[in-house]
Amino acid sequence: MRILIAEDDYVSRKFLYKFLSTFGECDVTVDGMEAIEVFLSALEGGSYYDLICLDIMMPEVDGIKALKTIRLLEEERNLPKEKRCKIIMTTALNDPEGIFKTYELGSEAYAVKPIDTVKLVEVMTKLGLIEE
Amino acid sequence: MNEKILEHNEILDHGKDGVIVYDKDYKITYINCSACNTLGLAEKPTGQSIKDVFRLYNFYTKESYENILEVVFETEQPTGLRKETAVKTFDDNLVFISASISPIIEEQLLGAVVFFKDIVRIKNTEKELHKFRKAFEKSIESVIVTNAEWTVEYVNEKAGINYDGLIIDDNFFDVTYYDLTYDDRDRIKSVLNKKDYWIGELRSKSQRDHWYKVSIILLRDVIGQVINYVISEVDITFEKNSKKLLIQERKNLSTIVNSAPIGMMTVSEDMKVRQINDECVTVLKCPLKTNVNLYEIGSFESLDIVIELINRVKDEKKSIRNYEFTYHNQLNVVRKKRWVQAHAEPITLSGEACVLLAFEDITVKKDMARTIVRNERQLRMVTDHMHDTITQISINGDIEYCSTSYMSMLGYDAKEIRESSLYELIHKEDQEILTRMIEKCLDSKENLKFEIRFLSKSGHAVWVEVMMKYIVNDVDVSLLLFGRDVTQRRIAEQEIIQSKELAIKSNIAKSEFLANMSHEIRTPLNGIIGMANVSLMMEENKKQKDNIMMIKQSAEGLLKIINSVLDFSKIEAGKFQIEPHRFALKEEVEKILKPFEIVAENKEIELILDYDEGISEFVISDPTRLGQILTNIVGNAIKFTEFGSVKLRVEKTYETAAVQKVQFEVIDTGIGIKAANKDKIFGSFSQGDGSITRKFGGTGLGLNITKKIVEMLGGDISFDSVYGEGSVFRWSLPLRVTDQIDDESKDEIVEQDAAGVGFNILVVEDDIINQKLAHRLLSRKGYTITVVNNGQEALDAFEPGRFDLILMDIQMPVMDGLTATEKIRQMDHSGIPIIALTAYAIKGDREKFLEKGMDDYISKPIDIDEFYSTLQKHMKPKEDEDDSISNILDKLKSKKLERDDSKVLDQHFEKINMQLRYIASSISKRQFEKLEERCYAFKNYATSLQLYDLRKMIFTLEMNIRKEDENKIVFSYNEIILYVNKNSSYVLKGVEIK
Repeated sequence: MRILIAEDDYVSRKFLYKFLSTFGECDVTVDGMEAIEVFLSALEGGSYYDLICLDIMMPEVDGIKALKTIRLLEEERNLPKEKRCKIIMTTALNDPEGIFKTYELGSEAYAVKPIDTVKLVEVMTKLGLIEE
Repeated sequence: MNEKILEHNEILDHGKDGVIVYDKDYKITYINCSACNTLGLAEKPTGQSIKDVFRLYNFYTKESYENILEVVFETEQPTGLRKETAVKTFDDNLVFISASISPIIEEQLLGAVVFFKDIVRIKNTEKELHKFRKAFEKSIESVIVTNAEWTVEYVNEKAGINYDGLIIDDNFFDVTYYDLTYDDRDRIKSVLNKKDYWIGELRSKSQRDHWYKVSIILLRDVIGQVINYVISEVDITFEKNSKKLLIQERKNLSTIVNSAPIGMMTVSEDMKVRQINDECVTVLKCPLKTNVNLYEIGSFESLDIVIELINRVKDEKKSIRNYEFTYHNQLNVVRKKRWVQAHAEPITLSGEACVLLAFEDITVKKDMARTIVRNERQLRMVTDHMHDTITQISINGDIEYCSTSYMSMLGYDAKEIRESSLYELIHKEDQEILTRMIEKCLDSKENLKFEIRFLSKSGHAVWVEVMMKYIVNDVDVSLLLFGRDVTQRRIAEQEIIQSKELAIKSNIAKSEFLANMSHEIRTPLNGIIGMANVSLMMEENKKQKDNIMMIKQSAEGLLKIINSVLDFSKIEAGKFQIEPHRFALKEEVEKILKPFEIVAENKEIELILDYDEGISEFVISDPTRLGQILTNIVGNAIKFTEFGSVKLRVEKTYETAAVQKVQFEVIDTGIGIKAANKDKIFGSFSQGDGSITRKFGGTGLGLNITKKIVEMLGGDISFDSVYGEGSVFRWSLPLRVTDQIDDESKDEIVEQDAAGVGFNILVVEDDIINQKLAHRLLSRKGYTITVVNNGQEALDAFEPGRFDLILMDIQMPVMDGLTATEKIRQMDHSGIPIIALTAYAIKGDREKFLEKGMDDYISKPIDIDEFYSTLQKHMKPKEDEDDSISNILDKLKSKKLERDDSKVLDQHFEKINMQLRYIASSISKRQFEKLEERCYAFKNYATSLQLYDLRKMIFTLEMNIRKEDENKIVFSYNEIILYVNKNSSYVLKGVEIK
């Protein structure tokens, strides 16, 4: 499994990287712009990410814009549904409205920080990324 | 011989008639003196031609008639002259003559003789006679002439008309229309015989009110025999009747005078009352009557004044009008003062100089006038001394009256503003309000109350509460305004509003601060808990694991506190939202209890669930909030229970088709709550006992939040507790029941996408079903939706720039869609698309909607494809949003430049070399954090030089650094070294990794 992480907080991304590395190969970016760039070059190289974790609040290009752009790029290439990556939004804000909006934009799940690793595993299982 | 006879005939010579004899040759052989006189000749013209002497003409036409002299010879017969023949005399006059011309024949014709007579006198007499006849004929009196036997011989025109036909030859007395008996006739005849004339008045036989003055004259001849009777007659009907009328008029007048409501009397020079009516006695209240001398009546106040008045008129010889006087009524015990208005004027009554007096009692009028003046004065006292203002204005706003209280309210003297317009006194911004209120008041005719700003003379705004009243005087409509200065109140209100706004603002600021704080706190907590988790996963050492576990638990405790504080601030700010959806209740309850089982087990207390299976499996509510309540109450119960059990009982208490009321009870055997603390349990920042906080921890917000959540879910919460024995907390919630397998499955028809993300749509629709449908369809595409119920609400919600599109129903209560559209167009000029949503789309409607300012329409029932495509058509792309995404993509794609990078590399070689040396050093020392920062800086440097290939290689290195994979780091680093060395004219130095 290939995983892409976008998280501006150093400790948080270190934690996510360490935790998620146990499930697959992780790439780490520090903002939405980097995430899109890495995602695009992977797409052009024909290797797809299975999971992307996007922090909502990030400098320059935030998680929402990154989410929209990623879905747009996938659409432009007519990527079949099953090949499209699963996106989990992470946020330190317990803001149901904002989270609901990301669903509309095409995210699959969200995790409120501090991230409950048990729940995260549950979600990943539900998304079919890992087996029980 | 004949001539000789003539010559010597003296008789002929001196006869009255003129004689001329002429022979066959027209020579005059004889002419007498009379002829010469008539013709104006001094000498006898014997021997001259008769034609030169006897010149005959028509008197009027001047035609020559001389041939008559010849005619005699031709006819040998005597002949006369024509009528109107005149002879021309030698003093140039034309003289009427009559003549006979006879031929003189003695065996043969010898000549002719003319006898002529001057007939001027006869002619004149004839003319005179004619004149009299004419006068007779045309007289306005009727004239009848009879003979001695009364047989009618002549009637003039008037008599002819009166008798309507010919009565000539009839006996006058037989045909006359006079009402005459035989005795009457005899009397007339006997008078006539004595006096030769009779004059009398006779009545018409047929019309009894017709009267004639008739005179009959008897004409006798020389010897005294009766020849004629001349009867003449004049119609005197009118004169006769006039007299009668006059008498009647007098009678009437006297009646009028007597019954008139005005006292009247006439008084003679010697002060005797000639005439008086009853009213006069009433008005003057003294015993006056006819023929009494005023001086003999006695002493009366009113009488003295009347006498004085009469004397004045007599002296001045002119009338006195509108003379007002007062007197005291002496006939009553109460000597009440009376007011009288009098007129007096001199008149002549049957040749006697008198004074006519008229009196009117005006006491009542005076009283009324005084009352009116008094009332007005009182009213004015009131209006002048009150603080409130009274204004009467016309429908145009012109001031018709205003109270003096304007002085105290606005500083204007009431006189200054009377006759001006009320608008001049109103604050500019509020003038429209006045116009609207006037219209409304005229329209409804009801009292209106509103507040409006006046302007004081010094230019300050004065808030006035106005009561506007519609009034009608006869036909004039006016508006009455009662005004009260409410400026002080307004200021106070303003202050309250401001402080309220301030409070709200600061509360919002507080909430935002808390939300931000929570974010700032959660981020490091995320690190703590995350890393603790990772460590727990990897750590083998039991002791270390315990330590890490404690870190994790502390962090989790902190998190709970933060969550409580955040919830509390959200509730305070009104941002706390309930999101109901369908879920399996029992499953949810069990899930929530699960973590507590472990806790209870550790405390060795029992945790029991008593669940009523009659409760519907699926319900609609907010499971998250329900979980929060349960967690809080059950958590508390376990926290405060050291021995025994905690029991959760869930049971249905009430049920309708749509809703089940479910009661939750948490019964513990814990420490209970002291009676004194019971009131404080649900308060903010409160726990039963301050000391408990220290022992058991917590923010003290838990129960307060719980209570609020219960209330927001439509329930209520209460508790019973006995200190030392335990507590029961119970709350019941109304839960909507649902049988539907999956609410959402239907929506799957519509593919969910993000086409509408970032767009705000205002849905104006009164029907709830349609509202829901629109909401569902729009939210599927990610649109942000605001729903209002009618046009007016749409106007209230609308602000330019707030919405990107409006869906507008046409038929709605309060304000319909077309009106709302017009008003929005007035408010907004950005051309926001407004799409009609209507069930009544028939031919021509589209044009009507477009004309009213709408952009398009969608007909109901809604066709989904049409709905989305119409929206898409009118939705302007969001510039900033789309820009940002295309900007992002542009940034990524523009990173290929058609140029040789080696020049740039050479140019900046030194700096590149230096930065690489630093990076190499960090790699050697395995300082990953520092390395990441240095790499990041280097990458930005490359970006600024547009060295995109290099940048990409640095980015790869950066990614590898984050993975802390040394092999990959070294590999990607070396790639960079190789690239720079290869593409530059120079060689990098000191960049090896040790």
